[in-house]
Amino acid sequence: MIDLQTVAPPSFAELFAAHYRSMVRLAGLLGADDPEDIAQEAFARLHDRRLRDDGAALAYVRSIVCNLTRNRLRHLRLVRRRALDPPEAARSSEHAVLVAEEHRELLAAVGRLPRRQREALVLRYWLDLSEREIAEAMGVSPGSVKTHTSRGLSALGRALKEDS
Amino acid sequence: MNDIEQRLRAALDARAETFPASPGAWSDTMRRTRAGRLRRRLPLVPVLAAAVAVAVAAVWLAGGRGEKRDDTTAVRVNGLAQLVEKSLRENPPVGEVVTVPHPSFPEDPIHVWYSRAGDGQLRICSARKVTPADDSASCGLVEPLDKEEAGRVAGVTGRFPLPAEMVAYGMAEDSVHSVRVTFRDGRSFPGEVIRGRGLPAPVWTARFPGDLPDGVPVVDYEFADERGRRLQRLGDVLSPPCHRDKTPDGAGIPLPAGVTAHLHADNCLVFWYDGMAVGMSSNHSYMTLGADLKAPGRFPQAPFSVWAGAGQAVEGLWYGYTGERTARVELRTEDGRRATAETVEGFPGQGVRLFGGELPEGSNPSRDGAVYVGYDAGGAELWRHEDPGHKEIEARRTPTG
Repeated sequence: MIDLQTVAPPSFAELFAAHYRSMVRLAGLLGADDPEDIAQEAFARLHDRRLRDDGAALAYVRSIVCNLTRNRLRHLRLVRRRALDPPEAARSSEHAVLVAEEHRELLAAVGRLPRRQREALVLRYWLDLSEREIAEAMGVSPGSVKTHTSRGLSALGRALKEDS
Repeated sequence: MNDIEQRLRAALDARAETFPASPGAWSDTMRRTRAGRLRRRLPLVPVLAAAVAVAVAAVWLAGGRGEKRDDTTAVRVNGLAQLVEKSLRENPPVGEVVTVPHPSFPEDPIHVWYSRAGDGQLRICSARKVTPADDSASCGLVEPLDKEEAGRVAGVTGRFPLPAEMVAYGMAEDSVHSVRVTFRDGRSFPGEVIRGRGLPAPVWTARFPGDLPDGVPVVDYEFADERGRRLQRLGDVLSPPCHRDKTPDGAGIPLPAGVTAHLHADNCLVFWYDGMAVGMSSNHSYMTLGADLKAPGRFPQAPFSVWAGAGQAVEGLWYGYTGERTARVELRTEDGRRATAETVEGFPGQGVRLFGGELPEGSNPSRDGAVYVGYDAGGAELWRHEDPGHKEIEARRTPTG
């Protein structure tokens, strides 16, 4: 039996080593143009906050990644609106090659979803989070998570039918 | 799970794989932390300090020896003493100056004191030897403290070349009566809380072995009150040696006597010998000639970095790196013997040339001191640097008569 009293909580460095990469990927999947910037800022905030409950640290980082990505996308939308003829940010050729052809159509549809639906789907189907965890990361109620997930899946279904 | 959910999982997995994580992520993140931001304000002081130490030696040598400069051997100027004096003048102490034994340089203790910033906020300042050739001084704000903070770290001595012991020190709240350093493997080492004369807050210091457990080099400082109740556990990730991420790749640049230079991640230059890392550019790039220093005017540059003699380098060898204009480096031992090393081109983008060779038999510059002189391709002297040896400094401090 493990004596929980003697199991040291993970240190900041251990959390970083275990989850940094996945936080970069989460930011990328949510549409951040510089996912590493988002992930590093999130971990830096965690470091400064020194959460007493180490178990809450990962949830905190996830919510910061979601928030920062949201703010970043909002900023980019404003910048693009101000520019008269803004070019859409081009995906690198590396990305184009790396993502298999079979996924492109679906990922493009995910990219067109409203922000909250996209967040709910990524947190649910990529990170496999529970509704409660998703709600915590998104800063919404579990009921809203259900709604966003359901609407997102329906929208994807429609988009794929229209494209086929 | 329906078809679209399965496809979505697969697509997100595939897409996620395309977002890379850079090898320098850890250090980039630490620079963004509050502690990192604090540290970023500090380099100006240590850089100036290093430059001053070099300049003092150069001026002294040039002025003191005049036309007979070529006859110069090891001339003793204690760079740290000069630096401490200058730092105390610029950052007047509040209360006494505490001295903490430096495990790597027993004859040069670390000086720690409090000072007030222009706006009256309390700062903790320290000056210490970083390498035999470099001294560093810095100050950092310790006000205001967050309510959960019981202390702050002002400095930790370096981890390379693999010291037997390290020491950490910093500021403690009044309520702190004891401090311990703990390793994640369970080892624990008591420190000391110093309540010196006139100090506005206690200074804590803790000494611990350099053989940290494998994995991320992290230690915890635990502050407790007079009844032994823990007030705060402060985790600190010590800068890992920059070669930690991988072993040497490729042939590297061979230097005389079996030393090979390799370039690792983050422009980390590492000297290898017989399968062991025996010298590397500091993680603190502002103290070195690394690629980060190529931007003109960013930092004053030290003329060179050198590892020479037992206790600091492979016994009987010296090696290091210097600026691109330096074609030859000469070493002059305390007894007048000389060794010369032609520099070779370093790695692209680093802006340094490498050198190395065998020391005069039986000499140990790190212990006995030496003068290093750099020459350009035409033979003109570009720089000179005096490294005071530990032995002479020790002798000077021993009361006579």
